[in-house]
Amino acid sequence: MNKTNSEQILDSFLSERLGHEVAKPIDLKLLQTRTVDPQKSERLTQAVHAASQKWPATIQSNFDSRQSVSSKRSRVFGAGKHAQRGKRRKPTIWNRTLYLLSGVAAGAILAVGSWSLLPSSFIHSFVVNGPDKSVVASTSSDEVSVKEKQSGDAQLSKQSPDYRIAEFSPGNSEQNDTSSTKLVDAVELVPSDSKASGSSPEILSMEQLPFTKSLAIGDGSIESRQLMGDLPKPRMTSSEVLLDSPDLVALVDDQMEYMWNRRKVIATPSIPDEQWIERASIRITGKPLSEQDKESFLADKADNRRENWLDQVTSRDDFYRFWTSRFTDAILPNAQSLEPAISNPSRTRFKQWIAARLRDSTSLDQIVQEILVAQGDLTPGTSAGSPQAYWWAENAANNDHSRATSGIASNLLGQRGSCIRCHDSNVIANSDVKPDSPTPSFSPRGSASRSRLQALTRSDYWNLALVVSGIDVSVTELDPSSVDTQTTEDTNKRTVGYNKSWNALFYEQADRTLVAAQSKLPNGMELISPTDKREGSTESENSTESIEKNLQQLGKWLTSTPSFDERQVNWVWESIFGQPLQTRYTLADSVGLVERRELLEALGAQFRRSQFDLRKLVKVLALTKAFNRQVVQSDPVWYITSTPQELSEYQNRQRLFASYSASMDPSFRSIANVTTWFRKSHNSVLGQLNTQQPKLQNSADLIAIEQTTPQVTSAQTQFIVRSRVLPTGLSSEVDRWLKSSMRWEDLVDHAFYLSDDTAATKEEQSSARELLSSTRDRRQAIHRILASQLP
Amino acid sequence: MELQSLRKQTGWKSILRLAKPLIISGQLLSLGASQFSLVMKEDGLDGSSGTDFPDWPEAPLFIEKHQTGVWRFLRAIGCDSSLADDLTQETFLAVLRKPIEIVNDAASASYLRRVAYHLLVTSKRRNSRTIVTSSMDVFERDWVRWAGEDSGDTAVEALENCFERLTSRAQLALRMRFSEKATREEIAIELGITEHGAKNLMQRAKRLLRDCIEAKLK
Repeated sequence: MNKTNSEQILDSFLSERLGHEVAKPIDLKLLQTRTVDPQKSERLTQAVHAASQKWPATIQSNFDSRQSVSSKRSRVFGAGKHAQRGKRRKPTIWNRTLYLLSGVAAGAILAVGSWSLLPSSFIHSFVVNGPDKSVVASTSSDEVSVKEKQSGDAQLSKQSPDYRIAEFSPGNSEQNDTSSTKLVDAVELVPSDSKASGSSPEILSMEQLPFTKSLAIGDGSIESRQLMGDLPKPRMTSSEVLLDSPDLVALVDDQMEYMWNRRKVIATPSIPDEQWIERASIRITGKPLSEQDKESFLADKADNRRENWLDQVTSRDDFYRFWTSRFTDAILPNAQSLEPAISNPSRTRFKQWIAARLRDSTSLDQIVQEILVAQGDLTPGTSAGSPQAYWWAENAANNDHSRATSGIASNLLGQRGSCIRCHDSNVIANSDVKPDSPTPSFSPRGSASRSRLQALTRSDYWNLALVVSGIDVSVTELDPSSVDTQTTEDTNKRTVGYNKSWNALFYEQADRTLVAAQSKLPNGMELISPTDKREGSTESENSTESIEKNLQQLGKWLTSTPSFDERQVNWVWESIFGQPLQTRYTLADSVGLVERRELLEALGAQFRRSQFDLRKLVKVLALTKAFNRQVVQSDPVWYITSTPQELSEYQNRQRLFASYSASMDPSFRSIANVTTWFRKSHNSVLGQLNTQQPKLQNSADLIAIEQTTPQVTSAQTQFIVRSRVLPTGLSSEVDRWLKSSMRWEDLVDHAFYLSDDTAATKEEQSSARELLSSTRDRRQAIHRILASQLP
Repeated sequence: MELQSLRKQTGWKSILRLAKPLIISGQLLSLGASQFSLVMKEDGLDGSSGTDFPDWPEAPLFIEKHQTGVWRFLRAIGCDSSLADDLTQETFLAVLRKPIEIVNDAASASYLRRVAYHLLVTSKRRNSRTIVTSSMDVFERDWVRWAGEDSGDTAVEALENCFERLTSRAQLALRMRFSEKATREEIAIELGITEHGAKNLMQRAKRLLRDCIEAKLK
């Protein structure tokens, strides 16, 4: 036997068995598609081409775009390089012209004379793809009537006795979508007798369409409909209509499925009821499931036992206690709920006040409005004043009104307060943005779709700061002996009041000039200025009254913005799913941004329409398919050994809620931990981690394992993932920072601002310096800091 | 006049190419609507076809039976996994477009291997690469001796048995080589031997495997 050949064969068998290679199953449908005789397909192509002359010009243009179509064909056919054999040269202008003329001639004749004479099977159905538009259409009738209209994006309507394609929306016009494939978004089939029978339109997936097998391969203009998107784009409901819970669940599910399908993400399987109730218990009451609850749930044999259980549990004290904590965390700077209550009775009173308001069914906007005008004495052991004044004491501590403004922007409106303090955040909303504006890319994309108010600018920020500077937080140190140390560790007397010496405020513009902040709201509403004087009043009376009125107006405006609604939905979503629907730093998760944005807007509008019904929103989210996904928890070795593509897929699935993320840490400032770990592992996180299985033969091996195999925590694991695949947008943002010749400390601060709107502490700056000295590369070091920071 | 200027600019071939759509359109119109209907029905493009492969209903079974064998053959002859996937599909596509007369499975498998081989040669030629084996006939003969008539399932099963008989060090070396794509240097470090030692170890192991498998296949 020839040694070379047998070795080759043996090697291939070894690769198959040891490398776990398997032959990819052949897609018979695809094969069938490809067996169509090219000449026959060509004739079909020409036929459709001629017929297409009846369509709007935007759709006709598809036919000239062979190059992009043929490249798409090669990809979809999965034949890689081989499918590109047939790739044609780009047609010349003569070719295009003659082609078009021939098409027009054929189309005109067909339209004038032949169209109505064509038998039903002339063109049973077909799909046309192009670089910008995709069309699915069908004519299978002796009495084909064609109705076309075009407004904005092209819409095509064809009718037949069997069915008609009532509406067609071309591919999503998401500008930032890097994919060249545009998908069919909506196909709504309306039974032809709908008027008579009163039946409603039926929305079918592409697989369900009656022309599933309308396959033809011509010159690339016509392709299998299998290449198209599979699900119609869900319609986001009007904010004027209040949806019932089931409809709202369907809205979320449809959008999620559309997003998964569009991004080619395969969702993990759903979980059984037993797992669902355990998850729901933790996420809704903050407590593990009790045996009693479990038994009663399992004993309930009704189809809607999940809904029944949610109805029960959301009316309990546990529910209000837990969601008070979540709400408090959402509106206060930094997450503080983990601190023991004994350390701060003011916070306890604040929480009790919120819990009572939630129980009274006071809506969230009303609660926030009451908080904003609160004053009071927060001295430990006293109960005077408004407990809600604690919010100002925390946000405007040390009378840092800029920080308080950041708190309002971040925690109540979901904007990056620390960024808009120095930068114009949104180029769309801000007409006077400077060309050299440092961070135009910080803008939350698509955020201006509902309201200008969603994007605050630097001037907005400082105008708000002027209003906020009417608050005065005074702190007096108490005699420790007079404080009951059994109940508190706080020995400070804190009082929140109105600032009697309220005065003008100046801020620095991009050109380094100082400008006086104006007393007005971002919607243009003028407020009382510190310089306004009223006759017959003392200066302090004047100030106090003006500040209160201004704060009332601030509360009304703030709670009337869509941003407020969406922020509320976002923190509820984050509590349920472990990660927000939309992060504040949009560059970090650019996957599915538009779909998530749309969903957030729709849910925000619905939340407002329901008078901020927290119980309903929580129940809806717990019943969605996204909440019902299994957890994928790969081991750390996988994170390290997987390819970047595999990692991206894994991350995309998590970010798009196609798998449930049980252990997301909303804000872990773990730079110190990571740095320590980094140092221990011999200055290389990725290189030195022992990925081999340890050999255990004696006790000495155990000791050796501890030394060479670091214990990998979840935070470190996420760090590994982020280090390996930092989102593209984030990476380019870092490059921009580096070009701006910022000091290292400022770079670190920016990285930390992205995490939770607060600058790095001294310890964190120290750790960052250590990291820089280890890597000796600013870019690499700042990447790793970001990797450790972003949730 | 226009044609003449076009001729000067682009030549006759270009004119013919440019005129093709007109010719096709003319043909298209001359066919008439009823003929179109016929064409569509004949082609099975009107959605009415009942089977996936109307001309050859047994095609799915045929593909299922021979797919693994073709894929393994392509892997053995030097294709990587994805190229083998592609060429396997192309092989069956070629056969579906021009169905063969089925005498027996062995003949069918042999024919499929020939088609696959030619597709591979075409692919390599297009990419200006040389083919991995110069003599298809010799390779085909060796392949049949190894893979027999069951697409190589018996040989792979024998491989699994024989592999268990290797020493643990040899097993580890081969696993690292074929499963983790480790280099000889990495294998040598793992086993605490020289790179040359690792090479010898794997060569010995593969020789043992080959002898063992051949003994089992006899």
